[in-house]
Amino acid sequence: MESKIFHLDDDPDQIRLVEKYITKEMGLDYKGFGKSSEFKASFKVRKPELVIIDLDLEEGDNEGFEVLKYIRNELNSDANIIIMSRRGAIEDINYGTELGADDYITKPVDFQILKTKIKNLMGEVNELNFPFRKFKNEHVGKMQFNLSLTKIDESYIYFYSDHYILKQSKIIVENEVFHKLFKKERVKLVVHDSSIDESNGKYLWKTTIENVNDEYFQRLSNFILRAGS
Amino acid sequence: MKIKLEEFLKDLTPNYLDERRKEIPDLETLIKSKDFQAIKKKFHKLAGSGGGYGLDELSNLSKEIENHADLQEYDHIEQLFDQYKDYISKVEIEF
Repeated sequence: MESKIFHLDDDPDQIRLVEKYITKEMGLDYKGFGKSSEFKASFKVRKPELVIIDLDLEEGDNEGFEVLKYIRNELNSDANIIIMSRRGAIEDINYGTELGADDYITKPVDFQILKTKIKNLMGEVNELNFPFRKFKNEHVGKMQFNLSLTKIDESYIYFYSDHYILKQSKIIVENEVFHKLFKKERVKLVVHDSSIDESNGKYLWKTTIENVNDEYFQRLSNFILRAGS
Repeated sequence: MKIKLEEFLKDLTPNYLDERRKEIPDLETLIKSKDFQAIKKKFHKLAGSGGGYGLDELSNLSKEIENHADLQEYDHIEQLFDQYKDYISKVEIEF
């Protein structure tokens, strides 16, 4: 039987997890690989319909990009490709899509998202066959909505929102409090958690600046202490 | 602390958590070695896998350790690893 989905990741814990979900929950054929050489050799023979590729592999960081180039440039394959990586920098996402990846998911894996993306790429989402137009080129947009700054502790900055947001999302926030905190009103933050607060039905976003350092923790502590004095 | 997980994780997360508990001495040795590149690599993996198994806090703490390993901030790593051990030892899972 041909494997419909190939997965390349050097972490056996990821392979076990994704294999279980794809085979048992989605009922699809799956094969996992820990080494890119084995993945490439098997790809040529079995021609999977969709592949999931990690970026940092045993053979080296960025090896996933090399595998992507191999699939698109050497094999000229049009298999659907999803990059699934802990790395979520916009540069990685852009480079991956430039090389021909169809989608990008950050780890830890959210299975609802993985399922939707697999079904979408394998043409199983539009059950009623509504017509749609898919854009190959990137069209960047901007989204603005209100967030309510709720608290700051010694590690995190918390907001309430009416909206759920994916972990590792990067956002730019404008708030006058940040002027006191960081000496600027627009700050780039990373969302580490978004969970529903049952007391008010809102999502509580837990954030930090993008690259935390000693100065960041010091600024938060000073800010908290000033409020208490 | 108790966390409720999805049914399909029933025969995965207990083993995963067991492995994490067993590898604590190795992680302690790794951190004491101050090999920041190796620490970063190991916790990069843990950050990527924990949340998939339903253990979000394991991923969050690992990600922070990974970031501090990148900055070679040993004291922060030690503090965070204490929190990591505490979480690993206390977390209880149910389905």
